[in-house]
Amino acid sequence: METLQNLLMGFTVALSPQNLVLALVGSILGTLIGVLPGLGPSAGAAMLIPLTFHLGPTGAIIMLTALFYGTQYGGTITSVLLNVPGEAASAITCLDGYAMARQGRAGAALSLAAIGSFIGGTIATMALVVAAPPLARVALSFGAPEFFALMVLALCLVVSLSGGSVVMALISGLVGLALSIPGTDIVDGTPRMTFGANDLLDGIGFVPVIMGLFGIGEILYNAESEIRQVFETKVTSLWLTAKEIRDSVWPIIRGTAIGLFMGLIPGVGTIVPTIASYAVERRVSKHPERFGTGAIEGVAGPETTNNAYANAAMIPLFTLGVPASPTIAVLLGAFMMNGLTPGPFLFREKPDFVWAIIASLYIGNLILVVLNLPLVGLWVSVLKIPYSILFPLVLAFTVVGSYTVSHSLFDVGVLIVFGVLGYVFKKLDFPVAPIAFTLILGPLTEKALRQSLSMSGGDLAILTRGPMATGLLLIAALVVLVPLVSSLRQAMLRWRGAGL
Amino acid sequence: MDRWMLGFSLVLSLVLSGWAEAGERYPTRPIRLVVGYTAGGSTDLAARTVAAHMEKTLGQPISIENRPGGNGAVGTGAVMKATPDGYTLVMTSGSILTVMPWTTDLGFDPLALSFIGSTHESLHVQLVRADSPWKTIQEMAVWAKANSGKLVHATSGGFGINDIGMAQLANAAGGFEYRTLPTGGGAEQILKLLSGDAHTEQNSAAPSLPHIRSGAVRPLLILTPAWPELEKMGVPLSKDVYGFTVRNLSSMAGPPGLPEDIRQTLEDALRKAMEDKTVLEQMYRAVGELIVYKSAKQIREEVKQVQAEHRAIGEQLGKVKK
Repeated sequence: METLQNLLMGFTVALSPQNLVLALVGSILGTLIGVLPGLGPSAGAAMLIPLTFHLGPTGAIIMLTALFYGTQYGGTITSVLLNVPGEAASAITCLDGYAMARQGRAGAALSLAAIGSFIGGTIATMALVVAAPPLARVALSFGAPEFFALMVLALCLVVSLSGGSVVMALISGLVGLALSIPGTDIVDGTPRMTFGANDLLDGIGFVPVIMGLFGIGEILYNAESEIRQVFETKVTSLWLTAKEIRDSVWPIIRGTAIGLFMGLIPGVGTIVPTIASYAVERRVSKHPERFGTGAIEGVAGPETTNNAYANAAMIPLFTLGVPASPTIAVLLGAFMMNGLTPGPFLFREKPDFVWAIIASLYIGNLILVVLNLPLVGLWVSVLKIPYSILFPLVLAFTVVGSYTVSHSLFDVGVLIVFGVLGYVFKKLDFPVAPIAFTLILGPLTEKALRQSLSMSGGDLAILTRGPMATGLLLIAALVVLVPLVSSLRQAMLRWRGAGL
Repeated sequence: MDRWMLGFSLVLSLVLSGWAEAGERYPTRPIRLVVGYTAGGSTDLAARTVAAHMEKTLGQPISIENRPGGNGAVGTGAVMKATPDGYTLVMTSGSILTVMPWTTDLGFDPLALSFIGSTHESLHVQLVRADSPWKTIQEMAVWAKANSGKLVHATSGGFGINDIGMAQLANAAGGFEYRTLPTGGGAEQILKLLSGDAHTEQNSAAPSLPHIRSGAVRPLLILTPAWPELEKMGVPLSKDVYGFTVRNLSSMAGPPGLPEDIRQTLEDALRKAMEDKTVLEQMYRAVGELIVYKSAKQIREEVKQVQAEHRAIGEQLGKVKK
């Protein structure tokens, strides 16, 4: 009861005209930042921090959180329309969202993403209100060995993501892992396969790689055939059909649960929850072969997940003062700068502030859906721009975007190289998604493994130290073994059938 | 005749434009300040705060350009190669000045930079979890010696200031063995402490303060020369207990060979900014580090001296590149 009262009090603060305007401005700016390829949420939030000096803590945080959600949705727009993921969270939406766009269902994909995000975000915020302290304990029960087990599971899921040949997916995944090797050794600080290039000291940047592999590769592939119609000109209804809504209900529910759980584990990042959601949807689907060709579940699940994740990631921040992602770390900086110390004390010392923020999380989610649903038509009309004008523009934006992330021409080079690779892979019908995902997962896995081993002094037994770690590793084993066994059994049956 | 006229006017215009150039004082166009770290970190915020004030003194805008990568190696490396005309400057910090030059083949020597002055020095503190049995640094050292090689300490990853600091502590406390748990940075370090993966860590102000204030972690030892907030809490200073300090210096610099008059103009502008009360107030709020201005000469000497100290520890640990 007291919680409800506090929340209502929070709403009165968050609904003040000034704070409402700030949430709106944050959402719009965030969406724009998300639409511009390359500029991710943390860079966007960091740029705004100096501005927030003048707003006071509540207003500043409200604006920054709204911006954070906005970027999540903005990235979806370019993924669906152009196959250019602006940041990691929406990479997986390229697979089915873009396929839907090519069938004239871009509007449906975007509407669904907005609705899914709203539902996922709202439920995750409710969890923050009702159960933050017990949920926060999950964050601390996830030590390095548990994290390693989760990463192994994610790596196993990556291979089963793409519909085609498992061998091809494996090769693609291994290419991504190999690409994650250059960089600085995390223990010794020794440069590893950098060939004396300081630009490689932090490894190969993820953003230019995905923009190249997905976006540029797609553009080159389309440019090859003479003026061809890439998109169905007749964009069918922007709204969802009854069947599409029915098909999306469970993916949204499952997506919320996955995002909520992963948001509690600091350091997971947006990519793992979205992969997990996509993999789960594909596995439970009666028609897994439709995935990658415009399956609505492949958009509904991950898009819900990434917003549920974004909201749930606030739980460790508010309760423990632990930022779960780089963007949240920027938020933490904004808290500190405004003289607020996140953590359990914040609830006690500044309840008006905390509850206003929580209320504004609801409002932010609502604004996002109210703002974006009417705009879906506008975004979709981008596709009506003639191909010969649209794609050079996208190419230019992508190049500029990859440069602005860290003012680096090296990144532009990476973009171009991976653009060409993306084109070649597409011609060869080789799945590119596993490369992108293992490139992110590789260093996380390596770090967790080496952390675990440094805790145990080199003893591998630590990797199965508790039910959580062991359980996750067992699920990973099942993910790999079940399809293997079933295909073996089918081969056996065929063999027997032939024998008879 | 026409040709003569043309030649004459060309020469005249060249001479005049030369005069104009010499007559106008530096700076005549916007200045680019490269920050080798992501936006929002302490070095970035320090750069933005002083730059806003220096703009007023110099009468030209200063734009901040974040070029993260390799702990500052990418941004610093880019400025090393820039024309030394005072229009490209860099903010450097910690490892790139005092550790990386002897662990990594950078292809340049940061000591060759034309130093302008310092803005701040990162604070460092030795932390354990609040429910740790160790109430003092001595108790921790006794346990570490009795359980050789069992103490797990979390670092911010790679080989940097945290590794140097821990080695300094182990040396000063009579020598003990420990394990290193690398992380992705200060925030993850805290998490590893809270989740129990690590026993102890050395961390900087921004990630530590919330948890020190909330009582989730216990500060055992201030590793930097000073830290007023923690000193008030009664946390001892490492220089008093063991006679060493952990140094992580941040400074502004230009490319090697920056003309002295330009360098001096910039140094004056920086000093003026660092003497401004509002700047100091903003710096303290935004950066939260030990805000100290040091002249170019002073900071260059200190970097040189600290680099030598760190290198000696690196030699002991076998980390100096061949």
